[in-house]
Amino acid sequence: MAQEILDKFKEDPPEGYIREGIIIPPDYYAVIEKKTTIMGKESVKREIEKAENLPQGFIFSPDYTPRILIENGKVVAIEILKKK
Amino acid sequence: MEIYNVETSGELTKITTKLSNVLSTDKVLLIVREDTKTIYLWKGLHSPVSKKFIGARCGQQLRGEKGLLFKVIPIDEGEEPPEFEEIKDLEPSELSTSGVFKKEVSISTPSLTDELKNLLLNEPLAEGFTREGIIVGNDYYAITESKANVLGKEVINQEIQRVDDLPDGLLFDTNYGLRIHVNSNGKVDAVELLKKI
Repeated sequence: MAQEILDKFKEDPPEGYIREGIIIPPDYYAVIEKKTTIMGKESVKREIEKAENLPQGFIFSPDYTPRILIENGKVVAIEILKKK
Repeated sequence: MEIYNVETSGELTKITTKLSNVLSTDKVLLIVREDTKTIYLWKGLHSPVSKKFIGARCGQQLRGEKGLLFKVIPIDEGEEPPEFEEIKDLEPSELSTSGVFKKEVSISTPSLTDELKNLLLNEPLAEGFTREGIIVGNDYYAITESKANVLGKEVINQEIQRVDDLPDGLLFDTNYGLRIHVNSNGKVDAVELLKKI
């Protein structure tokens, strides 16, 4: 179910923003960059993984903007976008 | 037997402990007793009037779910009938379901409990932001402000209400930020939508 929702965010985020994570309540999925170097050439692969053990309390930064996915009148997911 | 705490948001939170443990004077509770087909609407002495109204509405909704053979009996704190006293120290599971229900009551969880609401509202917002809504689970709660003039003095009343008819699709606006609250289990239990001012 979560994967189906995550698949809906395969397209690039809005211009000027990078995707940092996706909340599928109550879980947080972080975008993880995996860098590998082959003969000096760097390859970056982005994957989304469920983050465990988030720090308890409030998390806020003015540099982030949400994009909300609504289906059947309900909030399905919240994409966390960071200004480039 | 089932016990529900009535939240000011209009939602019901299921209680799994003894009734005597949760009979608090600021609460409104709905107690469903299957054996006598009774739904008690228990109203604490110091519970807000709005909560009592919501409780009455929720009681009727529960009755609609459970079956019209059920009756809703309002009880004010201090005026409990003897049969109510009998069930106070029973575990909710001790009076079992008779099996006559056609469907389960739809209780949305997680919900914006009064405890969570107070926690969010008491945490000051960063300068330059105002709170426009709160997402809890799959629900969106809008913050509505009503202004009235009383003898020339402006009185502002803020209410939080669940919105059920959100427009489908992706909502994005660069004038908004967010604040996340993570609970003790490391899970996101609320996302506040903040508008830049």
